[in-house]
Amino acid sequence: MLSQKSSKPSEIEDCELVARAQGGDRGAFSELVRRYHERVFNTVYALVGDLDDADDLAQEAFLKAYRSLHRFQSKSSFYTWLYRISINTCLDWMKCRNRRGDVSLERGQWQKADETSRAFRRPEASDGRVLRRELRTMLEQSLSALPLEFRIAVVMREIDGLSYEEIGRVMGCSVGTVKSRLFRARTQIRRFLESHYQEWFAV
Amino acid sequence: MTDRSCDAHTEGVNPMSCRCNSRALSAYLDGALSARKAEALARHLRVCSRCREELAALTRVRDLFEAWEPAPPRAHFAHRLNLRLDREAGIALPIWLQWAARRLVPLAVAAATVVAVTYLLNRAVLGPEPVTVDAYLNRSLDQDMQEMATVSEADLSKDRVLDLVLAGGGR
Repeated sequence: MLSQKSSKPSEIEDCELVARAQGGDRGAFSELVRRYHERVFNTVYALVGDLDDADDLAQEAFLKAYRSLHRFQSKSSFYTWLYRISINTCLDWMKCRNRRGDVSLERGQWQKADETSRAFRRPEASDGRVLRRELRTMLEQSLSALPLEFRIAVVMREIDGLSYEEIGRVMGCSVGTVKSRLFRARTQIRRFLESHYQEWFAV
Repeated sequence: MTDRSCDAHTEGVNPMSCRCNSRALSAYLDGALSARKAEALARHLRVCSRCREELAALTRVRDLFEAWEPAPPRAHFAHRLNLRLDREAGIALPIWLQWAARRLVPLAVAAATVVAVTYLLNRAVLGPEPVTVDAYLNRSLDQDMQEMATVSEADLSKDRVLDLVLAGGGR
C-alpha cells in the first residue's frame, strides 16, 4: 500500500466501494473518483507540466480504471493500482508525443525558464503570491528538464511521498536503482536551479 | 563534488569516500539509510564541510517541493468524467454483463458447435432417420385426403368413395 503525504481514506471503505463498483454501482465509482482525482491530477501534472494535458490524462486514467475494474483484485490497494494506471497513461502519451515528433517538452520549457528567470529578478517578485507562482514555475521547469525515469522517481517521492520500496514496485526496479535515480534527479534539479535561478538558489 | 578532496580525508578521519557520500546524502535526507550507515554519515558530516554544503543544497531542492502548491484541477472534473462514462455506457454493456459475455458467450458457442458436430456425425453414420409407425400412418392419411380432394364431384359416388376408403385401409 502506498504511503501518502496527505491523510488517506480508509482502505476498508475503498474495498467496499470497489466491490460495489465492480457490481455496476456507478455511485461507488464516483466516490472513488471524488477521493482520488486531486492526487491523480497532481501527479500527472507534475509529470507532464501542462494543465490541459494533465486534465485529459487524469480523465483517461480514471476511464481506463473503470473499464478494467473487473480485473482489479484486492492484492494491492485501489490507489496503488490507480497510480500505476495513471503513470502508464502518462508514459504512453509521452511515447506517442515523441513518435509524432511534437516539440520536446524539455526544449520548450528551457526557453520559458530563461524568461521566468528574468521575471523572477523583477522587484515585484518579492510579493508573496508572485513568489509562490515563481517557485512553482521554477520547480516545474526543472522537472521538465529531467529524463523521464528521474522525473517519475522524484515526483513519486516528493509529490506523493512514496517510500523507496513502493517506488521500486511501481517502476519495476530495485531499491538501489531508486536511490540512484533520486540522487541523480536531485543533482540535476540543483544544477538547473543554479544555472537559471542563481540569485535564488545561492546559499 | 566527486572530483574534489574532502576535508575529512586531510584531517586523518576515516570517512567514507566523498563519492559514496554524495549518493548516500540523498538517501540520508529521506531517512532511507540503515541506522549504522546514517550514524557513520552523520559523523562524517561533522568533519566534512563540502558534504555539509552538498546536503544543504539537496535540502533546498527538497524544500522547493515542500513549498510547491500544485495548480487546482480543472473545474467539474468528476462531473465531466461521469458524462464520459455515461456516453460509454450508452454503447457498452454494464460491467457484470461484460464479464458474463466474455466468459459465457465462448462457452455457449463451444456447446453449440459440439451439438452441431455430433448431430452431423450421427447423420453421416446412421443415415436418414427411420420412419416411425405413427409417422407412416399419418403420412398415409394425408395422401388419402389429397387423393379425395382431387376427385371431381361427379365421381364422388358411394362406390367410388368406398373404393378409395378400402384402398387406403388395405395399405
